[in-house]
Amino acid sequence: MLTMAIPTGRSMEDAAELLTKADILPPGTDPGRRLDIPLGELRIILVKPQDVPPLVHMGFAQLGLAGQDVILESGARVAVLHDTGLCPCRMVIAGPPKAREGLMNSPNRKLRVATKYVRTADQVLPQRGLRTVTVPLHGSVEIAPALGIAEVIMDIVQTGNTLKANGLSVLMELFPVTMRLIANPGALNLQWDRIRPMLERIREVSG
Amino acid sequence: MRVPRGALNPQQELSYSMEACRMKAMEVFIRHGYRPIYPPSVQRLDDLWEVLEPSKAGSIVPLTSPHGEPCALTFDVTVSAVLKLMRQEERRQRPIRICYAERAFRRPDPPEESFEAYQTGAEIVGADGEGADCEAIYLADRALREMGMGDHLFVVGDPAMLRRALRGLPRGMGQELMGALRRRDLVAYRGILDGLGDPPKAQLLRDIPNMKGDPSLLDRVRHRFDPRELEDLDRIGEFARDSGVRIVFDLSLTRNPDYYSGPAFEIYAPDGSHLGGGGRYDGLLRRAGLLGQAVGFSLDLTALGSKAPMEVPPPRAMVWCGPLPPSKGLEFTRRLADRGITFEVSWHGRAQSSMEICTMKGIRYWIDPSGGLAIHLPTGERLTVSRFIEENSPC
Repeated sequence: MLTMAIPTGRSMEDAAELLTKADILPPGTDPGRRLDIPLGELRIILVKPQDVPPLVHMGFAQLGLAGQDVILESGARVAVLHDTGLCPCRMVIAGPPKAREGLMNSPNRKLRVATKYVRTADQVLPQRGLRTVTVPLHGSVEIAPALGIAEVIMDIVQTGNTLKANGLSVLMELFPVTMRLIANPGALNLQWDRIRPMLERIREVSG
Repeated sequence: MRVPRGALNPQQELSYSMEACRMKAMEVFIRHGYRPIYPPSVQRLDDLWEVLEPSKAGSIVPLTSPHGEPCALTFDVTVSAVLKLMRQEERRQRPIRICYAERAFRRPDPPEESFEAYQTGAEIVGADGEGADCEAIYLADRALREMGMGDHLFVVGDPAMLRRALRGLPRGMGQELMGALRRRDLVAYRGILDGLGDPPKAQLLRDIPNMKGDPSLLDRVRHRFDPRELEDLDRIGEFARDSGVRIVFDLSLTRNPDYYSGPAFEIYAPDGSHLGGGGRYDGLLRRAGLLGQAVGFSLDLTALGSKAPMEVPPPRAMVWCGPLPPSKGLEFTRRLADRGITFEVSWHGRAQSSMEICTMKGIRYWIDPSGGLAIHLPTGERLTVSRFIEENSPC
C-alpha cells in the first residue's frame, strides 16, 4: 500500500487534475469533505500544503505533491523526484522602489527582510551575497515596508498584483517555485517497483 | 524538571528495548572477534577539521572543554573511532575490529528536533582482503536478526563507482551532481545534466537514479558500465544470495557524511524507517593519514528499540525486607538471585502497604522471608518460600 499526500487549498485542483491525467485518480473523483481517499493499493490523503513534506519525511506518506517553497522551508529530508511545472510562481525579494539601492549596494548595516519563509531566507539570502536580518511574519507580509517593520519582503509572487496594490515591485528574483513530486527516501527503494510506474506516468503527462 | 528540547529521553519501555538491542548487538560483535571501545564523548575541533568536509561544520555541536580546548560533542562515532586508532594503534595490529555503543550529537535539520542519537556499530580497519564489505553487511544482518528483526532490507550502492561515472565532466559539474544526489533532489540533478553536451554520457547519468532493484538489476545494466566497475557490488550480490541477506541495489546511493569510498549501504525497516547504514571509508582513513581498507556501520538504537518493542517484565516477586536487618534481607535475596529469580526489595515498615505497592507494580508474588511465606497476590494462595523457589526458578 502506498500513501500519497496532496495539498488542500489552491493547488488541490491542479494536483487532482494531474493525478487524473496520469490515471492515478479515477476521473470525476470529488473528495468533497473527505480527507482520505482509498484507491485499492493507493491511498490519497489531503493535508495542509505545509504538512505534506513532514508527513513524507516521517514516512506517514510515501509520496507527496508540494510546492518547492514549502519543501525548502520545511527542511524535510525527502527525495524530490519530479517538477510537475504546476502552480508556477517565483520566490522574490520585493520592496518599494527606493529600497532597490539599499539592496544592490550592500549597505554596511543589515537589511531587514519580512517573510514567512524564515528558514529559506537564512539559507538563500547569504548565497546571494545579502546581509540580512529576517523578520518573521505569518501573513500580510506586503504591509511590512509601509509600517517600517522591514525595508523589503521575501515572498512568492504569481501575478504581482498584490505587490502592485501595496506599492511594491520585484527587486530580485530568487528561484522559480512549482509543484514537485516528493518521496520518502526509504520508501523510494523499498517500493520502487510501485513508485516507478507512477513517476513515469506523472512525467509523461506533465512534460 | 524539563528535558531540553531535542535531547534523547526514551520512556521506560523504549529504554528497555534499546538496552536489549544494544546488548544483543554487542554480544554478536564480540562473538565475531570485535573488541569493544569507549571513544571519548568530545572530539577536538582541529582533529575533526582534518577528516570532515567543511560543509559538515554546521552539524557540529561545539563546546569548550573545561581545559579551554575547542571541542565538539561526538559528531560521528566512526570518525571518533578512526581518531582513536590514529592515536593508539600500531600498524602490526591490523586489521583491527572494534565495536561500540555510543551517543552521537548533531544539530537537527527541521522537522527533526532530536540532536542526540544512540548508536551501536562495528568497524574493520586495515582489512586487506575483499571480503570485509560482506563481513560488515553479514554482521549488521546477524545483529538485527538476533534483536528479533528479520524483515529489514539493505539498500546497497557504490558512491565510488558513481564518482568515477562523473569523471570527465565540465569543471564543478560532478560535484554539483553528487550534491544533488546527496540531497536526493532529482529535479536539480536532471537540470544540471541538461547543460551537458555529451548525449550518451548524459543519458547514462540521467538513468542512474532509476537504477534501483533486486540483485538482478546488475545484469540488466552491466552493458552500460566497464565490467570492473560492478565487481564489488557483484560480490555483495552473490554473498547476499548465498547467505539469505535481503538486499536491493540503488546505483545512485550516496551517504552523508560523504567519506564513503566504496560500497555503502542503508538499512530500512519495511515501513521505510531508517535503521542504520555504513560502508567502505578508505578515504576517511587517508584523510587521517592511514592507509588501508576500512569498513563499518552503525545501527540506530532508538529506531531499533521502537521497532522491536519489548515489554519490561515485572520482577517475579517482591521481597519484604522491612522487618529484617538489611544484612539478613539481602542475604535472602542472594538465594533468589542465585536461582535466577527476578525480584524487587521492599523496605516498607508495614506488610499491608508493601503488598499494595506489590499489586500496583504488577508483581505477582509477595515474599516475607521472616515468616518463610510467599503469597500469590492475584489468588491469595500461600506457599512456603522453598516451594516458591522450586516452582519459579528457571535454573
